Amino acid sequence: MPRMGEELRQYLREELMPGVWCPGCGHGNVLRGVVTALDRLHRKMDQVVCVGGIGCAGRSPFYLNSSAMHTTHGRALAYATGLKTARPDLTVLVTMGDGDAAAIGGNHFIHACRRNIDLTAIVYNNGTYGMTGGQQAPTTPAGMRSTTTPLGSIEPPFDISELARAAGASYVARTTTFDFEELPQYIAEAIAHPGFAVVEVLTQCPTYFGRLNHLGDPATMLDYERDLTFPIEPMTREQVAGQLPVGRFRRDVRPEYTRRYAELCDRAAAAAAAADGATDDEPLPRRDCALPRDPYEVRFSGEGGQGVILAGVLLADAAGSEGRQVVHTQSYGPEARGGACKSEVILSSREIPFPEVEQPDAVICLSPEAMRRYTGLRPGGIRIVEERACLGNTPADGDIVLPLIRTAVEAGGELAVNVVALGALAGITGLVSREALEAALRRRLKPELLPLNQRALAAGWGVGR
Amino acid sequence: MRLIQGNEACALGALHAGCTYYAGYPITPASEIMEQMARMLPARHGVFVQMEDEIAALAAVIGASWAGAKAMTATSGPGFSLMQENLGYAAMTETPCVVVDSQRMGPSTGLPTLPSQGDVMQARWGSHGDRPGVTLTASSVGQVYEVTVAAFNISERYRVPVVLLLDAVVSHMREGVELPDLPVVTRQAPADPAAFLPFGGTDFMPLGAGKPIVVTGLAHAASGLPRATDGANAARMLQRVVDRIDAAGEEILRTRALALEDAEVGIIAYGISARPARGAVELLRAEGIRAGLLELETIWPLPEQAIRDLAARTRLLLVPEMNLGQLVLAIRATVEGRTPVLALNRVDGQVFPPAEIAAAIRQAVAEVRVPVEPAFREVQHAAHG
Ligand SMILES: Cc1ncc(C[n+]2csc(CCOP(=O)(O)OP(=O)(O)O)c2C)c(N)n1
Ligand code: SF4
Repeated sequence: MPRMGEELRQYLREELMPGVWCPGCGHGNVLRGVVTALDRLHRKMDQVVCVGGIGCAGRSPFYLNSSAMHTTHGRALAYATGLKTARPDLTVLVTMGDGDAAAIGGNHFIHACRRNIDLTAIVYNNGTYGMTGGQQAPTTPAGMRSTTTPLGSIEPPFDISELARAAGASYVARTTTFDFEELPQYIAEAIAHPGFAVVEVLTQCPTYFGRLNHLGDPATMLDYERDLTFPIEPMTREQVAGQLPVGRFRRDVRPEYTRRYAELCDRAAAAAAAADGATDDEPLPRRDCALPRDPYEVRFSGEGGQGVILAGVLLADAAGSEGRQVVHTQSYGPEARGGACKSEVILSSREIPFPEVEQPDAVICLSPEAMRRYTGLRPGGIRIVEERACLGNTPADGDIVLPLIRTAVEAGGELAVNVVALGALAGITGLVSREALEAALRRRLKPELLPLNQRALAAGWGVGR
Repeated sequence: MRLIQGNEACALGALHAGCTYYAGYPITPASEIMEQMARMLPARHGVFVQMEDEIAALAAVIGASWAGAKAMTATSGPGFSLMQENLGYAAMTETPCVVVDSQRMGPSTGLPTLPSQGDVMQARWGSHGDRPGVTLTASSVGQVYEVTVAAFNISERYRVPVVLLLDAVVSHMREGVELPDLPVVTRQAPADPAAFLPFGGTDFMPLGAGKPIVVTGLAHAASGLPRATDGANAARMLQRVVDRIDAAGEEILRTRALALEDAEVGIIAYGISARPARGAVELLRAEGIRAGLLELETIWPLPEQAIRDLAARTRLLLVPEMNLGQLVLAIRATVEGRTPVLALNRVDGQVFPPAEIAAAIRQAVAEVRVPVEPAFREVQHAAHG
């Protein structure tokens, strides 16, 4: 690491130095840029957290005298997102290698850019995997050698700054360890920037990238960096085809994630305070009358969109409010979308050991497919069948065939067929009181849907009688 | 009494326990936990973030925990697999956090989304290396609430990541429950912040509270600074966190007993399979077989003493699991042949009917006279039908 002035040493955790970096490694130059930037911004180190991934670059947090999180390979930005969203007041720096940021952590990288969360991501781009011994990175320039591309890489590399820009980072700059003035300047701008900021630094790995590609000593590698790049502004050198632009590519002020989230919390808290006035229903008297069988098993079946799940929930809610023990289960998964589905309730006067319906005492069939698929009824049980469910099916002896859909349409909409069926079931069996069902409707439905469903419940009660 | 869904009970339990941070990625059958948190946390000035995958979700949770928040995530098998590396990191860094895995039938995408108990070993051993692996389960909606509070309490008191294994049935089932006002534990601030060693005990100071703190997944000293080449120190630090959990006892080892006082045959069950096991106990008792149930709310660490005590008093034990036999391996190792331990298994996404468990016991009681291993194998196969 280059020598530093006394004033900068207070930012370093010198007890861990010399660290793991090789002599001549560019990572120390980058770190020098970081501490210079922190010094220029007068950041208090106890309010700074540096989060690193795994790799030579990922070790940086150890050498800064701030709090440090040295995390897992590729995930530093995700850890940092957790820290920053929980403590938006902290200054959070994220140090990553190019493999860390753009290979294993590529997904976290683009999503952090998109979220525009106020983190400063510093990508130490040495074109290789230093820590593991010089393998190909997603940034290895085409044709360059690594231990896994001994004949030269045939893959086009990522342009990390371009990627950051496209993914929505609101500050993006690229520089090199050769550009010792721009380096701390961009990092300082990035830390001060209120949003997701990326500084990509081309840095030398003399040990692997340099040696495998015969680039010479660290000083010669700085010349390589200089020749590889051209500054977009001021244009001090002439651009050669194939050179990488360096400079500040973007600095926009866009809404920042933690600030938007704080606004959202205020809105949510205000809405919750406004809704606080709504009172609960009066408790209902216990329903002491015996169940036809105890436990009593009910199955609602139909097709996705018929509100079968809600019918079960309403029954369980109503019966529970009258002091019954209740369990509701539902068939779930792909088949719940469109195909046949079922929703089952067990009612009992005592604790229910097994939560699934084994042999239903009451079955409601709302669709032909459900009628075919969910068979089985306890002897002495009842089955209520929507008349259209009989299409292509023969009703069994004792089936109660009712015009549930027609009744729902007359009550104001086919949508309410579930509540018509529930009303019919309750009217026939007396499992729950009408008051309990009405209260359950009020608890479970949006106010705008209430009138339709209240009419449907009354109509269902009527057809069932 | 309120009618609530298992996943809702989990979210309510988390809030009761003081959870202020949720990061997650959607997956059936766990998504309702996330959706509830998205609805409830902002109004309480808690944080909810939808991350880009489950790896990121647990990473964010760990980051938030080090910012001082009680934090959680919830997922199902495929996401739980992705979380393993960071779960190991949480253990290595003694990070309090709660990870819910609502199990569905695997491997891979499997049967989405029928219930399973296939992640039992993954919860304990899924990440590389040894670590403490506290894992709780629940079989009813009320229990989901209680166990979620317990998961936070244990995680806060012992500074350990706690896994809560639910399953597709428990997550989606609704039951009428009373939500008790349970005691809440919160990580202890150090008595002397200046002398605080982040990895010296179970007291805790977040990052950004005035003292620079170093957290790393490398082997480290009590100060937090890396000691990546000192094997003896690494062994000591690992033993320390493992011993802390092993020594905890009752608060962590949660069990429930049903009709065990005079039981001659025992069922050991956990999670959703404990429900039909309760039903089976009733069926068997009605026909004169003195069956009892030891329900394990904590499966890791395994409540070994309770299992040994039961083994000493019973003619045989049956372990019904919705997997090909996972916890039974550890139970057999604990029982050490003192009594036959039979496995009853299903991997078809169906919960055991009570009658199936009762039949397995009935048959075993009739056939198992001399406790020798080959006989059990036959019984086991017969029980599969
Ligand atoms: C999940 C995982 N996979 C692989 C590794 C091994 N590994 C450690 S660092 C590293 C790459 C380092 O390269 P880079 O991120 O470019 O940083 P550098 O070392 O060059 O600074 C790899 C592959 C790991 N630690 N974790
Ligand atoms: S291997 Fe390369 S990147 Fe790593 S410390 Fe050495 S020179 Fe730097």
